[in-house]
Amino acid sequence: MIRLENVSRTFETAEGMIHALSEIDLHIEKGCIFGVIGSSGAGKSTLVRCMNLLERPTSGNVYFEDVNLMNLPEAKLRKMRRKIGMIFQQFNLLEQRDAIGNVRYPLEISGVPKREATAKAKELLKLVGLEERMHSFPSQLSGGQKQRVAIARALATSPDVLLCDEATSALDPGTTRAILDLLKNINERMGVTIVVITHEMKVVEQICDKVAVIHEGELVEAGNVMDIFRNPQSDVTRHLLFPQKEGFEPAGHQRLTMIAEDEMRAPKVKKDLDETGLYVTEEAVWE
Amino acid sequence: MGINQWISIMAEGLAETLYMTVVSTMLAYIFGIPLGVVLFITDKDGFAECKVINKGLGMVVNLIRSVPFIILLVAILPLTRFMVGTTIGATATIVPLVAAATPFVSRMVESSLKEVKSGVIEAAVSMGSNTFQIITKVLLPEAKPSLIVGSTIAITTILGYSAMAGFVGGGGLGAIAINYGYYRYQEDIMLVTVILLVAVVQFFQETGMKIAGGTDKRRR
Repeated sequence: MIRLENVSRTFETAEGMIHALSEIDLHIEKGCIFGVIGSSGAGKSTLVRCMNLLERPTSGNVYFEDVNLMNLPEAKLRKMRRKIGMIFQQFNLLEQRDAIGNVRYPLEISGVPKREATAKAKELLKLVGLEERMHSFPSQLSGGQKQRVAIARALATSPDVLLCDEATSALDPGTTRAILDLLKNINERMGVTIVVITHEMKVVEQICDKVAVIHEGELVEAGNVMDIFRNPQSDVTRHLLFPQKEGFEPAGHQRLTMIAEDEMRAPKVKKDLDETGLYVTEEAVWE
Repeated sequence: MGINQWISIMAEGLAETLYMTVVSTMLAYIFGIPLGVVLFITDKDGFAECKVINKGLGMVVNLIRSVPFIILLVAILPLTRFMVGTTIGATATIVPLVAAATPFVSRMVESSLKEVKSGVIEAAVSMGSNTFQIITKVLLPEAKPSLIVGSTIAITTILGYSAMAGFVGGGGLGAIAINYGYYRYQEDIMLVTVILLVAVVQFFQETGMKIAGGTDKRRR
């Protein structure tokens, strides 16, 4: 579906060259939910922007359905982008348009007749559970509702892929869960391949089939979520899975249980308690 | 002169002032919006970044803006004569007014467009919008409330300029204030014209703000 081949991206700044991405090879298969995780500044956002060429890689190739986007002329690239939906952390809705107006936008620019566009937009707002708010403006909607509108908008041109750049990072845990469920639903029912960029392991845990770990612009490891959970190859991954020295982190424990159930064996867990009896660190010891 | 005569002089002055101001503002926006858009999109990190155009146009705009209006007014008299056939009267004044206001308006437009969040533009690009669609369907509509606020500032500035044109034979209330109030020491006439000008400014300001507020969907 999407294949990155030797993709690098460098920025020139006053302090010298910054290597945001170094020689990334990545293959995102059709129909899966692919997570890209890394701490902030790891290059995740740059990576996802290279997938639809919002940012042009300094070198390397970006294939979408076996078409090298790097070689496409501007007009063809714009057409191709309609097959790649995208949602953002800050939603990026048009503030002077109501919900349905936002969803209609991508249809308008691709020349769909107004009546047809309105019908399609209504249908999509229904899909994301916001048909009753179709005439509300973004300022009248909550964060979760705004992201739903953004998802409906991204799906308007019936894309094959949906890129999600930290799509749940501005939302509270409950809303995050609901949005992730919606994404999963879209993946299962409509067969849309989904790429999820996040710094939160729980997002990967909840919906992803495959995951790639990015650190300082380099691809640390990639594979099935369960394999990576079970057998992390690097310290970076281990740290993302089981954050240490950040106080009690129940998610880490859940993850261990999940792996244990999957493997029918319990990994040894080393826990440190502080004087109040709270967990301060929790670390899996792998044989 | 009788009171009726004064009233008709004032009414004519007011009509001329409104005519010059409104027509000049409209023309300044017809030229200023495209220029402002070009300044914005060709700027550094703009989505059609082009240093040569941006710097070149920016320099011309700054050059004209730094010439005091009263000087510009005199300096382009030959151009005014060429375009209108005369240098006196309200219509002739429109030429220097537009020349002075266009660079000013283009900067106002540019700063309004800068208020549009870059993420919104990025989203529009990601959906496959072309440059023209981004300008007409994203930038200008999203900046509309700010553009309207800008236009009320522009129209009052242009109104002030139009009064100055009274010194070199322009029409309107400014010319009345100068010809009767300044040259003939008729202070009461001066006072009346000033009151009328204040009223006009108030009217533009209030209307502009009201329209801007009514059109802005960012408020609940």
